[in-house]
Amino acid sequence: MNNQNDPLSNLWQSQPVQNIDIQELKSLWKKNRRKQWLWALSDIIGLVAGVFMIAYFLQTEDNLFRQIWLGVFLVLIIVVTPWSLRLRVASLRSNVPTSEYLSRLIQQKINNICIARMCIWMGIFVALFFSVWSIAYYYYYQPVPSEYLIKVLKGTGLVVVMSVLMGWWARYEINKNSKLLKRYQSLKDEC
Amino acid sequence: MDQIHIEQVLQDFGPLFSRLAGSYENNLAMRQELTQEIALHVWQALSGFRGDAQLKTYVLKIAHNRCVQHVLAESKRPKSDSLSDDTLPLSAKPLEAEQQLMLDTLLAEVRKLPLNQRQLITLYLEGMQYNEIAEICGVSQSNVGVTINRIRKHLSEVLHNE
Repeated sequence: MNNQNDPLSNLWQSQPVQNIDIQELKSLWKKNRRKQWLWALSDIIGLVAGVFMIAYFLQTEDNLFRQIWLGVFLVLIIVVTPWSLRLRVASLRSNVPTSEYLSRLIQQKINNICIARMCIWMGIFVALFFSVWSIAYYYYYQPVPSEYLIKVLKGTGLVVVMSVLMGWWARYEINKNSKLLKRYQSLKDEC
Repeated sequence: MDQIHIEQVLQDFGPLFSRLAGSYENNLAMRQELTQEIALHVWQALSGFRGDAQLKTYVLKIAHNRCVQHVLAESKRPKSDSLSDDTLPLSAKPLEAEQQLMLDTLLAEVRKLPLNQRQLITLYLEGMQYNEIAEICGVSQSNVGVTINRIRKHLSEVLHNE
């Protein structure tokens, strides 16, 4: 349909417009690019530093149990960093139809909720594991130097506190993302 | 794409961005901010333009998606109409009083529409064809036609009654 001579279109296009401030836009652009690069750089530095540190500890570690733990962390860092980088790049893409764009936003919120739930379960698992491990350690080895026992208990306490903090953060994320998800879904239903 | 080309693109589509922002935001300062944000997003996305669609279609997809983000962000904030200042002059070229009134009515009616209908009608009013609108919004062409005709009828009635 040709809408060039439509009076509604003509009226619409007659509205006064604001000009784009190119200078402000350029500075915004530079600021954004710098921010994106800094995030990407922090991911890469984190990956390299993490891999080096774990590799160093792995080399000096004799205990098989700790070696396995370090190995798990190494795999996690190697997998998670490219994934988060990919997410950062993907977040810049918005040249898709609006309905698809909204679906992506909704999927992103669902993913965030899943990740937060996973964090809660991981926290529970790790806290339980260390608690059981320290109790088992005490009953099995009956450590004579009490300092060693205190060291184990301190380590376990730290893990439990970290898990609780992680769980608290994850609950906050779940609540926040659930609210956003509801809002996005209602907007999607509108479309 | 080189710098000159980007500036040209922004110059060509700047008025369109401003009108689009106006259909989502009635506060002048916020409208200006949204216009800048749209321009920034378009600039960022221009590097991904491969020429497999018309530049206008590509740019409008980005612009509309930025407006969706704006709607989502604004829905989190408490509503305040006290800052509405639509009647403030935006350009050096003043409009006739009657035309200004009709324009205000048109804008107000467009802003009342649900998001999907608002997108369809603004794209139509910007001179886009049904197939292009369907591509931008991700809906069928027949749906676009039916919805636009219904909205146009409604808008014409409202403006006629003014």
